[in-house]
Amino acid sequence: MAGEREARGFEAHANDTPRDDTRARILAAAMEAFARDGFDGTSVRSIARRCGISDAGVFYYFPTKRHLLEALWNEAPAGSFPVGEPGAPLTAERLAELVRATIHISAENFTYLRLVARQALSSDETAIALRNASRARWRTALMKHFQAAGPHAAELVETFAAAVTGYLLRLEIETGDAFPEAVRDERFQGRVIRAVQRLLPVAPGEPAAAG
Amino acid sequence: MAREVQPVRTPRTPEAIATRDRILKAARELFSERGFDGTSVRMIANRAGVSDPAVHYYFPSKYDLFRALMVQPDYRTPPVARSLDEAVDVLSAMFDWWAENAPLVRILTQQQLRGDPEAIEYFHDGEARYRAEVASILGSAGYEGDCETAADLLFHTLSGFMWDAVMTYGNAAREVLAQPVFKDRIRFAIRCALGMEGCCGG
Repeated sequence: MAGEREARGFEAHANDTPRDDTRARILAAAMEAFARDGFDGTSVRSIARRCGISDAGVFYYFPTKRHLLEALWNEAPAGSFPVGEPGAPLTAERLAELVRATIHISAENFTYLRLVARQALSSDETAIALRNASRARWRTALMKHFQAAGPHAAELVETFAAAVTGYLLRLEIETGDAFPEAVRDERFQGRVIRAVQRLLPVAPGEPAAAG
Repeated sequence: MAREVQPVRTPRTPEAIATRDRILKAARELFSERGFDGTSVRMIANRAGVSDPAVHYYFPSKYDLFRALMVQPDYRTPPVARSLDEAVDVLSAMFDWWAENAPLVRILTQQQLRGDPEAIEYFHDGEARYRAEVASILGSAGYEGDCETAADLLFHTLSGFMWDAVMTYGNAAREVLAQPVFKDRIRFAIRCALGMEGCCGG
């Protein structure tokens, strides 16, 4: 995750100061807390406690809780979606790869995506804009893979996206903090892959994997 | 989990029915504007022009209010369809009901994602009911595939559409989902789930 990259980047500097480390720790703690308990449900005090510092210690870096949230939006998610060969047939195997790639990204960036989703649901304009940007990137990448599907490509992308969103968000509702492990579980991935393969009509001669 | 034990009372007189309706209307507005946690029983009572105890009388807990708002029409009689095409119509009409209630779905999703046990219980109840309804519809429509598989696909795919819409459009999701282009999208997804769409790959 970006936060970890940033932290590693700091370690690389010989004159790394405890202050930089404190700032990074505050951000990491805030990300966790906002993502889990929501912005309104989190106090600066609880973030300070998590970091083992005083409230004033947090306010030294971030004048308000809102500043802390704004700083988190720079922690951009890591990982990119595989870009397929344009025009390659849309096969059951290709669908499986796309599900795995989506799951990988959502597990790697769980805390960030959870924060964005949560704030978007609370009508936070910045979060909505960020979510819409990543939503559009996902669809653009998917569209390249679905090109070969012909005139229905756009509807198939939407159906694919809705199905994957449905299975993943449902898992998040059921598992909460344990989502990253649960989503990587091979049985869960297999379940989503089979569902998507059943749902989307794929090329003849490339039948959906049995089971 | 720890549900309140007081009963949800049913009004009997016209005045009582009007009071209960006013409370529900106020609750719907406030939940949509302020979310579940941001709405108190007192605010609902104030907006409805009734006392706090009056709200508590009809709805012992805030969740009882929420449940009353989210009661689906006609689910007492299982829905039926005479053909697969009609099944698509019925399933898409069922989705419309969720779409019309998008502002409530938004705050319900918020509560579910923060692990609120009652909101998750509502989710499970809703899923069980939906699966039973799909079984009834597909059974009466003479569907030859596996009903459980179809119900699983429909439930998750349509939930995905709903969740994506409320996260993307907020309370405006209701208007967006009502547009013909979106309704076509939903019908296409339903037809896919029922194996009614021709092969698009390759």
